[in-house]
Amino acid sequence: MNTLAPVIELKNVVKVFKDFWGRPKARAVAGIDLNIHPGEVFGLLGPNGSGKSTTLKMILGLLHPTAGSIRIFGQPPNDVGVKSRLGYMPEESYLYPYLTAEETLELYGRLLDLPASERRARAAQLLMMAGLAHTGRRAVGEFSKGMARRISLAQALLNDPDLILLDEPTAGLDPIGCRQFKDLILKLAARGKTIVLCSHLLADVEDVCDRIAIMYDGLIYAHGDIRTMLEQRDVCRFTIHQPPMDAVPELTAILEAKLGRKPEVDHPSRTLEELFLATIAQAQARGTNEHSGAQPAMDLAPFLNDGAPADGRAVTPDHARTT
Amino acid sequence: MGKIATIARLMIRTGIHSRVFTALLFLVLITVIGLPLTIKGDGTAAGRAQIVIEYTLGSVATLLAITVVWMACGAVSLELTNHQLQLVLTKPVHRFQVWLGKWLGIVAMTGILLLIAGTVVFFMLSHIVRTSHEEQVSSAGRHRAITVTRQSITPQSADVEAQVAERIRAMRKAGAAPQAMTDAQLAYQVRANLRREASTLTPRQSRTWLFTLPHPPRPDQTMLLEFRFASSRVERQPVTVGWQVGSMPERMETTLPETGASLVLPANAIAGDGTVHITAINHQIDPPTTIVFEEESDLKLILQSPGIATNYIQSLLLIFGNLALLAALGLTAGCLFSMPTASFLALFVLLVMNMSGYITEMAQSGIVTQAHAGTAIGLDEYPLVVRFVFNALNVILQPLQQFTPVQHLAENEMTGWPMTLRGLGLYIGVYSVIIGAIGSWLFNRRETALPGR
Repeated sequence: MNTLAPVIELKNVVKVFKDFWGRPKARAVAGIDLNIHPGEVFGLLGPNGSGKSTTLKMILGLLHPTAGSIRIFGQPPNDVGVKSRLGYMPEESYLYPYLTAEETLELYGRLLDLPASERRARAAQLLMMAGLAHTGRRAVGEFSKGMARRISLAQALLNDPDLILLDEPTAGLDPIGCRQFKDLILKLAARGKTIVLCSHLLADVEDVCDRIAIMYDGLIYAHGDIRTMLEQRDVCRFTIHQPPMDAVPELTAILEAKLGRKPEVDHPSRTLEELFLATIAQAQARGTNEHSGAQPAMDLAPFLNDGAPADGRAVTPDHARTT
Repeated sequence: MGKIATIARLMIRTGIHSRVFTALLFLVLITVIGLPLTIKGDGTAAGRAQIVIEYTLGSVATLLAITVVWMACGAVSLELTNHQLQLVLTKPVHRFQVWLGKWLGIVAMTGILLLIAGTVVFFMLSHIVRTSHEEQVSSAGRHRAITVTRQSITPQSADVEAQVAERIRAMRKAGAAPQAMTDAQLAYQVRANLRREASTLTPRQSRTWLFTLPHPPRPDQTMLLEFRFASSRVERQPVTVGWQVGSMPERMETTLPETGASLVLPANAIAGDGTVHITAINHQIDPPTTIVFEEESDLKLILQSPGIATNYIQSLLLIFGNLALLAALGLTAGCLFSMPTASFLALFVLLVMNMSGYITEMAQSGIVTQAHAGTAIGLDEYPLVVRFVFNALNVILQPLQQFTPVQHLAENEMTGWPMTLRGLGLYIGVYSVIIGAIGSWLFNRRETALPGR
């Protein structure tokens, strides 16, 4: 059980969409309770129409719950103080297409009340982190989807937020971008950030999340620690690296004699992602460094790497993740 | 303040990027330069100047009014449709700051366009003045110089309400009033009759009007009496009227009816208490002719000052105030509804605002229609809700009716700083603030990420 006060607290939250005359049209969220604790990477999963995006938008204060209560850092979602502590990366590019990447970060930096020097420094670092340092003066409307996702992430991190909400963060990204995003999420989590992500891509969620909730038809049907939930406790696997192949039948026979049934023996395979990334890494080692778009980067921006967030609150990198 | 300025700058950037600003600038310049070429005046410099002001500046004001409403409606609603505002609203920004920033952005853009149009029109007026001899008398016969500003003073009207009540009592007692007519309808007619009687002069009859000057005329100001009357004769023959100003000797003037005329008054016509008594004596005995000063504006005292620049700036400021109010209106509509609905709603309100004179007339007279006596429909015959709406609209719109900057400017009427400041105070300090407060409150309650948006 996490003893820290929850960052996000949903109590019996219901959301019913109504028509112009106030008649109920659709029930998107049917009464959910959810606590997300500091430092967690929490995945909100579910098929289309399950209510996860609606839940995320209620957390952001863009939708109001029909019933129940939502508290973010103990405050209502519309509280301006709360908003200075969160970063949101939407599913689509909700940026002003005619602003350049630099202007986009300048705009949101101003809205976040960052001093001018801090704005400029952070924008430069985030553009570097997002691999967009060479395209900072291009209008974001001209960006590819992957580049738009990167600048969208950059704006979400501009205030070094304590809570980061990511809606389909890897949608539209190539496998390299996906891996970089996931690595970045893990790095941010290691810095003590609380991260909530909504995704259809289960492999991504599995790679980065500590806890998940699976929603269907507005309700949470399963939630908890992802490792515990996925673990098959009635199955045991031995892994032997570089085994002497002639010893395998002998070992199998010993196990069969011991267990009374023949164990399954196979060669574990790499994931397609691992193969793809290894191949591209080899190609990059041989090729040139000329790129027209986003440059692979995603090393955490230095200001995000500082020991403490911008507002001076203590970070608990070794936070307890027991639930 | 920094966040509001950021939103305002973003709004201007949006306006420029979407080419609304450029297209509008083009339209404004086409109107300002092209319109005077298509309208034929009366051939005089004063006529040309009046056309430039009334049609050109009037058209620019109308064009900007419609555009500012449309632009303001889209400022919030379109950005909600495109989701850009969603992301802005996840930042630590109060929604009233978003509203105010967008309003300031729109007002700044509109102000720049108005300034450009106003400057071009002013140079056109200067050109008219330079290329023509200043005309003292227009075809209408009035003193109408281009480069003067005129302050009109209307005569004090007598309180006739006691007389109205007395007449209604007498009519009811004598059975002379139609039974179907309510007291309000009857009072409207009696009031009109009394006004007509007070402005009618039969042969040898005289009548005196009292004018109170707001301030003593400055040395550079000329005092004029402008008058215009109708006659009882079918044929349009000159009528001789004697004019006595204060204690000065009577002065005979023979003028055509239905034609404006004026007398230059000396400074000593003003009494010690700042009033001017003017008496008209009808000397038209052969043939006997009755004259009537039909409208309240048929007799007025004019204080004429040289120069129009200050008056011009004051009028532009009042137009600007009106545009700022319309921006607030459109923005608030856009906070509530989608772009098409908000546009229709805001344009409907604009239409109602333009009918404010009619609404006030109805609310004050209690008469809705008056084709002829006996068929008038009293407002009190309508359901309570209709009466409430009329009276509420009257209360809201009446204070704004006094500001008609384009008309004032076209007629060289002085606006004055007190009226300019009062106008700006009402347009921006009162109405825009109230509409802004309502808009921000509604925007604060609005869900900005509803599905399908």
